Amino acid sequence: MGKEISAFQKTQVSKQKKIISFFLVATFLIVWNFTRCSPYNRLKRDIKTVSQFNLLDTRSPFLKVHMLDGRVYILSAWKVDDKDKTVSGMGSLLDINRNLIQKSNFTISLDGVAIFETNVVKSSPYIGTMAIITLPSLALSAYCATNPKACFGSCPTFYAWDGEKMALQAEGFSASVTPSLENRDIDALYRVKPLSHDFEIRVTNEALETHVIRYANILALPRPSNGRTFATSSGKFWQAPEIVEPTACTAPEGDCLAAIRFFDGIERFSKTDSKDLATRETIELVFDSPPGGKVGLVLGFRQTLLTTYLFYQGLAYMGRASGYWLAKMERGDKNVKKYSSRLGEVLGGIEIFAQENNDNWVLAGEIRETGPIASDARVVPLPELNSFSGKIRLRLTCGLWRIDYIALAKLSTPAEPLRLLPSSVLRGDTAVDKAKKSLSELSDVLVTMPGDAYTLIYDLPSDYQNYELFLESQGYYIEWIRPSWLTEENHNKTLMMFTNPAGFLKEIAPEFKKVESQMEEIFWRSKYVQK
Amino acid sequence: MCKNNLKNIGCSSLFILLMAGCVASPAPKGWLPKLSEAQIQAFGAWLTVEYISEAETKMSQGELIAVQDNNVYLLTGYGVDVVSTDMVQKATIALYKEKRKVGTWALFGTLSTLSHGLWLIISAPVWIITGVSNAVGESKSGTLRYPNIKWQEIQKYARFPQGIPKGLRLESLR
Repeated sequence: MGKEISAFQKTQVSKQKKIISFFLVATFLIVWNFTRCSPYNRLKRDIKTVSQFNLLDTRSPFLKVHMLDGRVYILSAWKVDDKDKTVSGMGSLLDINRNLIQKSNFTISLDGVAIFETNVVKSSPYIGTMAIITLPSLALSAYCATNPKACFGSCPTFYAWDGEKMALQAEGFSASVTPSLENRDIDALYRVKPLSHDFEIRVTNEALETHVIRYANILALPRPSNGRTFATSSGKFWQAPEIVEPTACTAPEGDCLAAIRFFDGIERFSKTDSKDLATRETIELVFDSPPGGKVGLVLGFRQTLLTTYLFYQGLAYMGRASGYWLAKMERGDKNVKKYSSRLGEVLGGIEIFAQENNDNWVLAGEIRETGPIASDARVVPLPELNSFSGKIRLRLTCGLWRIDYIALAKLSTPAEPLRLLPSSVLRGDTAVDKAKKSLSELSDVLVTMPGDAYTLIYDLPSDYQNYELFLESQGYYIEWIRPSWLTEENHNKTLMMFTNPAGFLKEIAPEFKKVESQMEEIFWRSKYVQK
Repeated sequence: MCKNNLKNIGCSSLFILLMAGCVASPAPKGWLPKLSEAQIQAFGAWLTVEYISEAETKMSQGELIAVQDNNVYLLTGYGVDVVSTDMVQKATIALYKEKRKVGTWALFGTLSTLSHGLWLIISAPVWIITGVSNAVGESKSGTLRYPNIKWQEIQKYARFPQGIPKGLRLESLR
């Protein structure tokens, strides 16, 4: 348990270093190869005259003694006797046509010798080059092979300027993993800082998935001075002129206030239970001076990789039958739809309880957000309470959520968004009218493949600094089944996952615990981003 | 796309195989020794020369017997050819047969990028480019080329690096 610098920041740097290193090595090898003009000779042959016989290369395992008459001795275990002016060794004597004359131990006087020949075999430089390239390649194969379910999977990822860089801001319709689950998704662009009224968003496909994007609009809402505007899970918007941070935060591991005070990438999260992935924990929050009137709890959060793992593991257990099950779902099979949602129901969302002054805890609501990539900021309006004590309790599944930010907001007025469609769509530096048209018409979709990236440009109001921006996206995506998953096909476990999800989460807990600590690191490393 | 990737990787692998074998040795099949044998066998290297004779470009090839007195001697199927080194335009000297280890290595390396997921977009070209260039380099290994190499260096790889032995009748060579 604990807090840490956002895994995104850490692993982005790590990944970039790896890519750069890989390129540097590759470039070096390529340049080195192509600049090496002359063919490489691994046989280093050296000729010495009789007067140089004491300079013979002793690394040569064999010595050829070429005689004046054209015969040649080929000696192994040879040695030179300076004193007697002889060379000796065991070997063969061959005639001018290289027929064997004699095999024996020879001691040869220098008198009849023309020249000496030594040969040393050098190791191939190509082997070294290939070894250099093989190491990172094997490492890449190894981690994708050993952790196939940790390899990057997402949904469309959206990047925008955060004041320093184009940073990950949102992931669109993460729960829409089949056409029939196509859904609208609203993500707060809480940390964007538009540079001008021409607001730029980069949408990418960075996983082994096919993305089908029906639209990606910007919702602009007036932002109160000194406050923010938040969205609820039901898609309503509230202006919050006053935001209060908690004075205390207590989780099973102890004080967690520092991790959740600011929306800064420092997150509070825990590990799953080793015996049951559905085990719950609670976080207690205290607000000494809650605002009066209608208030809501603001949460900035994302999922851990637990759901990604379970989704991929589910596909792996379905194996070759996954197409069958997904097709059944597409055909509207009620049982499949019912059973497929049960696992998520057992895992649950984040339940929010508010305490009245009479110590009575009231369930204020439950909030969910699918996706482990980008944190979303949402508000959960608290119901009317007899009198609010200022204490909030969150009940959530251990190891399922990464919470970046918690605050209490005074909700003044509901707000209506200004919907902005992309004014232009670029691929690289080229405007793609077809893509713009696809994102503008509800009957059309923009389909992206791994590595695809588009820049969407929106025309914000001239006083854009006074607006809160949200991304409204709709679509679905299709996960590609990795060949390595097929080896885990297990229909009994598939059945258990659908019909007895609580039991399944207990049974699979030990397997998940084996990879849990590395999941985040491997997940981010395995992402592919086309530069 | 996946299908295309497989096809591309397959084509690339085939390309590597072809490139590995593209620099075919000029020596007759089975004639060249392996590298490990080259140091213990006493024949000359296989020489192919292109030279000017009577205003025509001619070619001759055979075992390199000796380089001496501005002449290169090579034993062909029809006896010993003596060619003036001044007339030689280019020559290839095959010393030994290199095992195609790197080509095979590059082939499997390229195929292994199929396990890299989308990373193969980076790793496959790196394997292909490095593999092809290394495989070509390896296939050229053990081959010297005149005029890149001087006759003095080529002479070392003759049957008689000391020159034609005195009293040797060239027609007696086999």
